[in-house]
Parts: sequence; structure tokens; C-alpha cells
Amino acid sequence: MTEAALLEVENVTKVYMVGAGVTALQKVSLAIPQGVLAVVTGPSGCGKSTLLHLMGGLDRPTFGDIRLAGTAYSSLSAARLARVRRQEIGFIFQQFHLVPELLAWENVALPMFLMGKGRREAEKRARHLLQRVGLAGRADHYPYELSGGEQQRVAAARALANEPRILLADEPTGNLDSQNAAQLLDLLEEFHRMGQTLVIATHDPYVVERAQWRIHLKDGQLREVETFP
Amino acid sequence: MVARSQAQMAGLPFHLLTGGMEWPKETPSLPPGTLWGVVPGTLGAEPRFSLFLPRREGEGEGSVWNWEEGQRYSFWPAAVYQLFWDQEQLVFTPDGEVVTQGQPPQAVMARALLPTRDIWIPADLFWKVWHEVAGDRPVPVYQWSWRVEDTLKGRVQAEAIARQLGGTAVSLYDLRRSATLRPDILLTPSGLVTRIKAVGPPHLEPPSENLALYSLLLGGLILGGQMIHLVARRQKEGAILVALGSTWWEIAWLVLLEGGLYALVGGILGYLLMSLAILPSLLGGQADWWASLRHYLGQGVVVVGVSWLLGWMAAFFALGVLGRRSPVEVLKQ
Repeated sequence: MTEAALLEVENVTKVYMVGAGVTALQKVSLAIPQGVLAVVTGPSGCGKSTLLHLMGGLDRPTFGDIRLAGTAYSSLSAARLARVRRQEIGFIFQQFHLVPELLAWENVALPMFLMGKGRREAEKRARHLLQRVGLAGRADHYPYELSGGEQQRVAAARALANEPRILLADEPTGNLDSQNAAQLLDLLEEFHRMGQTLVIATHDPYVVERAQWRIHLKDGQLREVETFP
Repeated sequence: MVARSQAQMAGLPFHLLTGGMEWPKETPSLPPGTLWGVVPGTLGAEPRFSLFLPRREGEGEGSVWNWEEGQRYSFWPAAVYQLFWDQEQLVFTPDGEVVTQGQPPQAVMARALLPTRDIWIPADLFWKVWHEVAGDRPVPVYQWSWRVEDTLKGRVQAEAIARQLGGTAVSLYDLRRSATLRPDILLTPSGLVTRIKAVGPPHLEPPSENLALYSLLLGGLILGGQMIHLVARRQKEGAILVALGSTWWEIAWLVLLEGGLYALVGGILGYLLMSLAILPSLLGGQADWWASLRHYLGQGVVVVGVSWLLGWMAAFFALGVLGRRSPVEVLKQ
């Protein structure tokens, strides 16, 4: 384990049992230090999303292991892994994945409710986070009343709700126009400047050029890791 | 147990006292071992008999009766082929053979004079009591059945006794079914007229009862279908919750809670609608409306319980569907 590594991927292989078996990732190993802005790039179907899902504990590798702050996922039960996701990891998805029946602030507060926080405390923090992402005036709107860019910023605020150690974003700008994409990236960079570790799966060159770490995947294999100061 | 009791009864000086039209407020002071009771105006008016059985101490010829300590038993000659002991029911054939036993209804169990030990009445004493009460008049013999499976057996017994007495066997269970909300049906000596008809108030026709049952069934099916549809729609929501850190059990609990609540609300609404339909009959001047209302409320408890159960069944089904799909797969869609 590297001294400063926050997230370690150790020789991870993921095979989906479809037909004869589809290998999505093959023997991928890397260690991401705390506080970096990393991107995972590569062509469609190269395993970017799979790697992110495995890093986030949403799925289990077929072989290999993943450690977050020294804790191996393989040593955790499903319930304890869920607790790790709740406390340590924030997710941003390409399709936003907000709960349509909940208001914007309620969506942001949802992870806090899962942590057992009281309604008043959760609402206060949710509104504060929405203010940080520039949506203070949209807190009492339902997702369908928001634009795509606004929905993604709500999702970003939700990802930060429990102050996670790491934020994982899967094609966060994939469904946004260039203006909204730029706004979201500014926001993510701001999170990064404040010390947040970010891993973004993307093939958007505009996102890639802003990253300190560029992890290149091809056909499920790690090809190259470039680092920039 | 029966044989012991039979031996225990042997040699007791039985005296049969009959007469009067009302059950006395206090037990008369009578010699122990006396079988005594009331001859009612009609056999349908719940005549009761009481028997004090002393305890036998010692074995064989040296045994003595302890008249200070014993047990009081009650039974009803109108349903004379049943006795109750240890909160169970004994059913006799006329020759004294025990053919069935089971739990009596709650109302019987709650009676103050319910015996707590076993008792067996010899057939000759049984018929002696019967003829003392009923004489040689043809009398109705009715079943007192509260479980469907008892009905057929009870009917055969009732008909056998009726043949011997020259009376008519009528199934109380059948009569109950024709008067949904009136469980307390008693027969007049003719055996053909129910109390409901004698009193004169209207009562529910069988179709109303059936309609309510079919409505409940239909409502349950619709609710179940709707639940499956809703939960299927919420697969994505479940996957989002997993991504945010919910455990499978937390999501399962939400689904079960939601399924149960939806079905419960549906059941209550259905029950209220059914109430609107039958309320006029329920409160339409029936003499014993309180008993009817209690019965009706009891049915409500069943309706609500069944609704909840249906909701949970639907929720479990939906959970089975959800459990087969990985959250990653759902989120990718």
C-alpha cells in the first residue's frame, strides 16, 4: 500500500456472467492518493463505469480487491459495505438519478436521513449545499421542474451531503450542454480545491485536460496512468 | 379419562328436579349429586342443567364420597348431546359414545359455570333428563356448529337424535349463513322459525354477504397488482438508495411498509364502502343490533387483516423481483 493512497485497486478483474462470460476489467491495479482530481478515460465499453462501480462498492470484483483508507471491501459484509458507501463515498451519475417524488433539498438530504440525522439538521445542511452549488432558489422544486444542469448540480450537492472521503462521478457531463458542463466542472474543481478527492469517468477531453491524474483504460485493461502537478 | 369419570359417577344418588320458567339468580341448596334445572317454555330458550359431582376418595369398596369438595358442571338439554369440560367440547351419540371433541366458541368458554374437569353422563341418565324436560313431544334438534368441518358430522348426529325423538334436525350453521349479521339464532319448538323471523326485523340476504366477499377478493387482487406495478416502477429508486448507502433490508422494510399500508388503506376503504351498502340493514330496527354491530366489527378486523396480508404478499413478490436485479444494472438503464 502506498503511504498516501486513499483508494487502492489491487489486481481487479470483473467478469459478467452473460453467456460464456464477458470480461469488463482485467487485472487492473492502481492507487489513488488523497486530494487528487483523477479521471478514468477510454473508449466506450472499456470498463470505466465498471471500475467506478467497483471503487464505490456498488459491485464486487470477480478477482482482486479494493481498499478505501486501508479497509478491504472483501472483508466487509453487504451491510457494512453499504455503511461505507453511505459515509465515505459520494456518487454522481450521468443520468442524475434523483428521486422524482422528492424536492431538490429532500434529494440532497436523503443520504443524511440514511445516516439517521434529524429532519431539521438535514434540511439546514441540504439548503446550505444547494446554496454552494448555486441553487438556493430551487431548493423547493421537484427534479422535473429543474433543467439538466440544475439536476446534476443537485446530484453533486447530494454526493457531498455526508462529507465523503471520495467523490465518484460517472460521465457527469454526458447529458449536459457545454455551458452546463463547464459550470459543473467549475463546481467539481472547487470541491477539489477544498481538499476533496475526485475520480471522474469520462471521455470528455475538456474534463480530461483539467485532471491531475489520467487513468487510461482500453479493453478492460489499464494502459497508462499520467500524473500532472 | 372417560372411563374414570364413568366409574366416578357410578352409584351416585341422582335426583332430577324440574320446574319453573326462569333460571334462579342463586344456585338452590340441594343435596349433592342432584341433577337439577329449569324447564323452559320452549326448548329454544337455552334450558340449562347443573350437576354437582362430589370427589371420590380412596379405591374399591373402601372409597367414600367427599361431599365438601367437588365440581359443578352445567349443560344444556336443548343441545344435550354436548357437554363441556376443560374448555373442550364433547359430542355424544345417543348411546353415550364420544364422537368428537374440540374448542367451543368464545361465548361458551366465557360462561361462569363452565366445568373445569372431565365428566361423562351415562346414556340412560341422559335420556332420563331429556324425557323429563321434553316429555314425548316431538322436539327440534339443532346443531351448534361454529366450524365448517364440524357441520357435516354434527348434522348426521342431529338427524340421528331427531329421528329417535320424532323431531326435525336443522343446521344452525345453515341458518346463520342466511342471516349474515345475526349469529344468535335459536329455534322455536316447531324447528322451522328462527328468532329473527319471529322478532320481525329485516336481515341481510345471502347475496349481500357474498358481494362483500367478492368485493374484498377483487380489491385484494387489484391492490396486489397495483403494488407489483408500483414497486416495479420504483426499481430505480431502490438502486439509487443502494448507491447512497441503504442496505437491502432497509429497502425491503420500506417496500413492505409501503405495500402493507397501501393494502391496509384499500381494505379500510373497501370495508367502509361495504358498510355504506349494508348499514341500513344493520341498523334497520333489529332488536339485537348491538350483537349484530359487534359481529360486523369483527368482520372488519378480518377484512383489514386480510388486506394487510395481501399487501405484504404483493410486496414480497416485488422484493423477489427487485432482488434478482443488480442495482448497477438498474442504474445503467
